[in-house]
Amino acid sequence: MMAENGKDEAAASDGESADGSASLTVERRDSNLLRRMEICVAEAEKRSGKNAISMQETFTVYLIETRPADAAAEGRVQPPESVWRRYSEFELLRAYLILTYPFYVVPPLPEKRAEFVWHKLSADNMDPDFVERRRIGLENFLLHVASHPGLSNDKILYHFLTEENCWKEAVYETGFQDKADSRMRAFGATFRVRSPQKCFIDMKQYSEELQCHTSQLLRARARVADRVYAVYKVHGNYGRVFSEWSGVEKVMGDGLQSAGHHMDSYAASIEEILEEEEHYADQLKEYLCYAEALRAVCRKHELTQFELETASQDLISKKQQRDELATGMVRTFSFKGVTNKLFGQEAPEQREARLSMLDELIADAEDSVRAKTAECEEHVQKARADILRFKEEKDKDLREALLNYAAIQINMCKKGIQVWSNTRESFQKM
Amino acid sequence: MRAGLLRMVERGTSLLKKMEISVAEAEKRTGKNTVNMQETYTVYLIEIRNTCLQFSFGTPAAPDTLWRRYSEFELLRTYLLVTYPYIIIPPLPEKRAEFVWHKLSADNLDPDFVERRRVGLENFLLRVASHHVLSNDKIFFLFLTEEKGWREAVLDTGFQDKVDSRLKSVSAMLRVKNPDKRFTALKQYSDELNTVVSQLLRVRARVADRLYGVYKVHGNYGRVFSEWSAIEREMGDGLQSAGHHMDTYAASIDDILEEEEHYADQLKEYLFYTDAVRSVCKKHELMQYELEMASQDLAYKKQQKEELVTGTVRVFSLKGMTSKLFGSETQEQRESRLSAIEQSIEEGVEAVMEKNTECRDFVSAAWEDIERFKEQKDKDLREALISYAIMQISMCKKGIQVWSNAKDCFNKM
Repeated sequence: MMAENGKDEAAASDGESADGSASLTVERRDSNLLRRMEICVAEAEKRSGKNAISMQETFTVYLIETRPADAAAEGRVQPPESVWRRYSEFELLRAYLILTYPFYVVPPLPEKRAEFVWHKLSADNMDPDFVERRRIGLENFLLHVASHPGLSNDKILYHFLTEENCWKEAVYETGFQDKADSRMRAFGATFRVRSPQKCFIDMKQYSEELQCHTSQLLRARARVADRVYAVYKVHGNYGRVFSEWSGVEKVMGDGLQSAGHHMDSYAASIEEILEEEEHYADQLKEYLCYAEALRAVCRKHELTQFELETASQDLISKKQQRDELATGMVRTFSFKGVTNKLFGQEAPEQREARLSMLDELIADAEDSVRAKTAECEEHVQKARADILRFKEEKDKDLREALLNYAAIQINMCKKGIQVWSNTRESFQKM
Repeated sequence: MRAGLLRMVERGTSLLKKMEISVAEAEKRTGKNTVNMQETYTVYLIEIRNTCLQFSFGTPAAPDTLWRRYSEFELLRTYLLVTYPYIIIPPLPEKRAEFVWHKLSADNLDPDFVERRRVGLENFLLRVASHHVLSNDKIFFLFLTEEKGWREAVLDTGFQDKVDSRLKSVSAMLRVKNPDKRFTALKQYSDELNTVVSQLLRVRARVADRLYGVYKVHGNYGRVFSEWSAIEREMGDGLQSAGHHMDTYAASIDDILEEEEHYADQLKEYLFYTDAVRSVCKKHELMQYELEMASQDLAYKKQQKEELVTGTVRVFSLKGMTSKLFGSETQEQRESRLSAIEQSIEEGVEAVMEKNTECRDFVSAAWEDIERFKEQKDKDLREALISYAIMQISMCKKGIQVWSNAKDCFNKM
């Protein structure tokens, strides 16, 4: 899952956010952070402290280590810079990235709580296995972001990786929360967009289906894990029976005893196998989250498109109003028109005043349409490029995940063959 | 399993040298039973091929055939049990399906059950036919060759009269004073073997159940991959064929577990064999008990004689009481009683000798068969366990194949 080959794409204005402020880009324009530094999440530790409501709580922090990439190349042994971060800070970083780059499919974080657990798997966030898997997931997240051509140059990201102090303040200072679209607006947009781009409609549908299938796959896997666990454990019963039997038999005693031992080790082997499988499940879960990120990009498009359409509509109706006022022909119903008919036409000075007011409004509306058109086009352009990148990666990653799973199954069968061959030998020596 | 039987056949009884026995088919029949109600039952076709004829004329002779139902097999076995109580009589396949894992049918008319019963009945006949004592039994021969009139012939032997009452057996078990240590050990061993094999069968049923669950859940994988393939462009074909492999995998469990059922049947045979071993031990106990009773009886009579001769009453007797109350008996009375007792003693001595011989013969015949059985059991159980291990290995290999195919599909995506 390592995104080792960061693409050196010079995607248009990469590193710049939608509002064009240059202050968020880093000095050097190398688009791939990963080329410049090694990043890893090396460790996890428990801490306790007071939380927001002043209560003691235990939480886990993760150690991010960074090292300049050329250090290794030049043979320098340089100690890494290290920063401790907790999960909620990763969440904050991701929220910032999503709002700042709404046209990019932002890589997902590992799950907050354990889902799709098969019954023997711990659902406890403090469980060492869960923490370990989370550490790997967080590392994957950082590597994906750092190799994303658009995201890797972000200054806040750089700060996150290199300086523990004042990072939270810096994030809030960007005012990224203001860019959050209200849920109502986003929801309404879905139904009222007149001409959304086809590729986004397709992508949205695809992301829903991908999410559906990945969930089903994870559910099926959990079921398989549960039952496979049961099968292996029941072989422990075989171990017990063979042991007892060996006590009763003279000739067959030794053979039965060693067969019993083989059965016991078979039963014990399942825990390790399923722990390994859990990593495969994590790979699938990553794509579950990616589907959500993809959907977010599509929704953002719908929203910008909707806002553009609304602004255009507004401009058209204002122009029309002006026309009517100028020519005197009432083509559309207006309150002024009715009152004119009832109470007589207005004075020419009033008309002039209204005309110039409308002209101003029209100028504003034209600006608005221009801005929205630009926003929309930028979003479409960048999102399209990123979706293509995402598709390629997705195909590769899912393929790899499935290959891993098949390899684990094959391995499991091979171990089974070994155990039963040993058992057969024990029987043959009887 | 067949290898073990073939070994017996090769060692060869005279019966098996003359004929090949098989239970070829099974058929459903309907008819009226003893309470005049319609019932459906299964009959099994026994085929006898005359091997001598086969060799001498070069063309395979048409087999002699007759139909028998399960209850007739049961009757034959009961006859053998009673007639040869010192032999460990091979068991019949189970009357009703036990140790079923939940998908297995417990219905006696289920074709898989009938098929396994057919195999079990054939085993039974071959085991009897390859036993050097049992194979010479005339009733057994008639069972294989005479469809009609066999029932009458069995009942004519009057074997039912030899059946020991349960009460006798139970009292014998409780009151034998000098049980033969070897038989005690054997009985204990057969109890332990029974326990262990039952546990083994129970574990196997649990494993089968869960294994069934695992394989079938892979059908879910098949479905998910199929649905997924519809929305993917590049990965579509790969996912589709991976889905097919999963479906094949899920479907393969039925055959695997059907094959395993035969292994379970081999274990069950030995479960039932332990009952037969216990029967022999019980019979021995009964004989021992009867011998002890006869000896005791003889000792008592001798004591009575002594008292009569010496006049001392050491043992309470009604005569002694009445003598005290009503006066001693006359000399003639005493003489006649003495000769009666002496005759009784003579009879008693003969009875004890008879019982002794009976017991000795029984013990020696039984131990010969027990040694034979022990060897057979070791070989057969060893083979059954080996074939179970081989089945597991084969199952793993199939698993590897399916997942390698799936891996290829994923690679090509």
